[in-house]
Amino acid sequence: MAGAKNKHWAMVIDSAKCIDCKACDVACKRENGIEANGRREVYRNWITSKGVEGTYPNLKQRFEPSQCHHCANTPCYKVCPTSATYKNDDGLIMMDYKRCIVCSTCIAACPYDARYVSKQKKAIDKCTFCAHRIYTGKLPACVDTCPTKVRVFGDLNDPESEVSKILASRHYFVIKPEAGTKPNLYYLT
Amino acid sequence: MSISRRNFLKGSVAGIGCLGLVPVAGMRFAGWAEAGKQPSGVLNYVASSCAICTNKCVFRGQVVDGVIRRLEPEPEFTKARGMMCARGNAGAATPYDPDRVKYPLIRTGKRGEGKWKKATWDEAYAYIAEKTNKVVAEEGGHRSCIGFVSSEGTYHEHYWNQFREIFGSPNSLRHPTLCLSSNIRGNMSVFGTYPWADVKNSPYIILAGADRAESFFTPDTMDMFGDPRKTIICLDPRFTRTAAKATRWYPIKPGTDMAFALAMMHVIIGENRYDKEFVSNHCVGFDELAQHVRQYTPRWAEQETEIPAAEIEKIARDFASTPGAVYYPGRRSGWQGEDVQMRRAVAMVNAICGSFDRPGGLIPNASIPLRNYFYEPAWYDLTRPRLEADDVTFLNPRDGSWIAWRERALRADPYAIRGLFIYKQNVVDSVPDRSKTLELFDKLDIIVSIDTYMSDTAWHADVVLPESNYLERFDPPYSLAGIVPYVVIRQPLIKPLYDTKPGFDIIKGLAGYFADEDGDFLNEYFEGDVESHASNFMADYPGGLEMLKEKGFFTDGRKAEIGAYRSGKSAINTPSGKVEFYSEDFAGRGLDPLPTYKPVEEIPENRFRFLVGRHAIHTHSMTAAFPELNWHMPENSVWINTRSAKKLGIKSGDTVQMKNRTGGEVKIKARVTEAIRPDCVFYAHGYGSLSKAKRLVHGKGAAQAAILESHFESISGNALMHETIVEIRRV
Repeated sequence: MAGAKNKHWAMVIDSAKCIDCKACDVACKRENGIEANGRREVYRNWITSKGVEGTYPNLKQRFEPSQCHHCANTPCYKVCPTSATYKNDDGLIMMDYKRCIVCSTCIAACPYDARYVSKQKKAIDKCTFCAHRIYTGKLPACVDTCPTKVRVFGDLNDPESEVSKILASRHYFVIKPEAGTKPNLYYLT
Repeated sequence: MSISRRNFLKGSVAGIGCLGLVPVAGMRFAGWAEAGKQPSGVLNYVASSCAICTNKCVFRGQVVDGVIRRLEPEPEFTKARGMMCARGNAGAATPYDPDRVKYPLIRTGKRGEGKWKKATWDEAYAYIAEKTNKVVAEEGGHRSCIGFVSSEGTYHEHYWNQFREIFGSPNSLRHPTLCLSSNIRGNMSVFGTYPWADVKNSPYIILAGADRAESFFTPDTMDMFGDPRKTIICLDPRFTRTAAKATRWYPIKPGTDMAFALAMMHVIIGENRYDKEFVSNHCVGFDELAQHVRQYTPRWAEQETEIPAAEIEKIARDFASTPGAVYYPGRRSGWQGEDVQMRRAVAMVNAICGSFDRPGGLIPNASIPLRNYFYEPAWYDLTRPRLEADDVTFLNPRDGSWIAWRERALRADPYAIRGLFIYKQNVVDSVPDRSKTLELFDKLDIIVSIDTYMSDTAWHADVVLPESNYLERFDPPYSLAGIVPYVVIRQPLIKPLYDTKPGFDIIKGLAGYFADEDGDFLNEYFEGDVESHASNFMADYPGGLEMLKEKGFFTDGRKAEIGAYRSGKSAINTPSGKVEFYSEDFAGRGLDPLPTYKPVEEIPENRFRFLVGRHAIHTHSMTAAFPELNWHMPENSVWINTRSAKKLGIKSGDTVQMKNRTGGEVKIKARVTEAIRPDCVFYAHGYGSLSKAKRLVHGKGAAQAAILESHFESISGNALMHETIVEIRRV
């Protein structure tokens, strides 16, 4: 298993900065070699929007970027019958594609809709927080590529990390707290 | 992208049995197999700069076993604030696009039929030269009959200009009059320069029409939206992504921006809120301006703009009282009627508040000067003035005025154009009224297109000369002006995959098939190679070229010196040497010396003003067929306001027919939305392609050039992109 036990990776998302430009989508697919071939269900991260709300000229539109929440209490991990879904020592939720039998139970179990069937991998796929990058000291692709720096990534066990400092000073929430998943994606208010 | 995968689950699970049959598009990883060796998996980085839009962002290109994997943003390149947008990321696929132009092509069928024969470079050059020399001889030997067209801001463009000059044609046409010429001219007349806004240090920004959340400009987009504390006042007939992020959005009536700016000045001057120190020390013509704007009350402006007078007053007061507030000049201008005068009015709002040459305000650009690219000139006795020389007050001889020029060329007035040599610009898709461009093409004996892609323009050419992809090329250093200036470069991540050449080699190769009046071949005017030019450009900066090769950019630490104009260290480049409100220069040319408002044309009942605009996944007509971007918008659709659509019985997804007033007609699907004024319609650029080699967008949706009418303003020669009126009906 990879990852250091003393790390607690987390991502802080400031949706107010998101301009829905899709850089995170393309960078993620590039970095992780994901060939979507135009299939609309193939993505590891996404931007949720209800579209333009209101009646002209009183309009608003909000954008909420998201991806796998790398939950500490992990529904997809619990339901996996073949241990294809596993946890790294640092808590990252990973996939062993060879073990996956594409039963898709995890897709149904994930409250965030963060998983999809990858025809390319012949397995279920999902965000890894770009584990291959963060273990060599780099940032996840969605973080480094973002024009307005919506996402901040780091180690919550390090009080000096940017994520720790932001969460110490700003109001934030998690999505679907009622699911009890203890997610590691934090949204600033 | 809010598609639920659970909805796909049923289909996906059912489809698992055939998973093994689904081939992966393996282009990206094909290099390993071709090389016939085991992949090492070792990740190498090559520093270079992007070519997918004008910003030229620097990246670290990931190359694994000779195959490009990803283009990571270079965090130290602060102009882009360490980002790489969707388009820049998607650029990594372009060398491997099966539809790119792979070798020289000579047309065998009719123009636009898509029948070609593969040619060697010498065959292609010889074919071009034979046709060209024949028509030049028929025109009595004057070479002005060949037009030279180029995209703006390519790193090889100076070679193209050199070729045109030594070839002997004055007819140079570039991108600016389809973009920002009127904006440059308006600001030049007031400030003597086209300044950029210090967005980073501005807490209050009026964004009128510039959709920075979808039309990226570095570092402005990053600074505007990366700091949600800024107040952003958005004036736009469409509810854009910028409007969504703005503090307040006003769906201004198109063409009335000048009324808004004049009324702001009415309030600011009338209430004595202007920057008296700046105005008295650095400006001329203020008394005339103050007198002039007395007539333009907020109540009057409300009638014109449809923005409430009280809101205009509040914005004017907030603007004047907020240090560092800026009325953002934007880039693409050429909207309606008096566009240059409108830009002047906006510049003047900034000037009366002292929002010039101070933190947060408009800042004249700095640049890092490179050594000149020197070449011997060639002289021709027979060269004639460019076609539209008398049609535009401030005609930039390098840029020309696209629409004015095309009108002249269509009439052979005062002489016939017989051929077009086109370097990268996709004129068929970008110049308004595509039918006129194609009509001009029909009159031409030779059309040459140098491009990496089979654009609609290349598709209609006689010869297509394939330039190597930007990830396969070494491009010479390029001085990137800005508030903080840089020099950038391009280096090849991979070797050319096909029989393509860099721009310099193509231009020099083609030049070798033409001779000057003394019989010397034109390729002899091109000395050295791109590498040697690169060394020479950087000769004043020891270690500069090495830094470029290592980092992809160079800086000598230079910044725009904010305050240099106020202190007198730098001179304002206007005739008076001051910031000018009343322009003697304009008066002397018979133009309004002050921006005088002229009401916009009323749109008849059941007609709509067609607007153009951007989307963050698109650069002009270039990127719509990039697979990694296209899936976000496989087809464009026309935005129609809900109420207007209801009157016409149009629902989202209906196919509608749009007709303009000059015979232009398109069919496109409707997108019924609240996000646009009821009197306007809009659709995105880059679709409805004629080229069958842009498979994802060929015949999908509609092209803007097919519906835009030809209009231009004669002060700067800019095309007017919002003067098209259309009618719409359900098909």
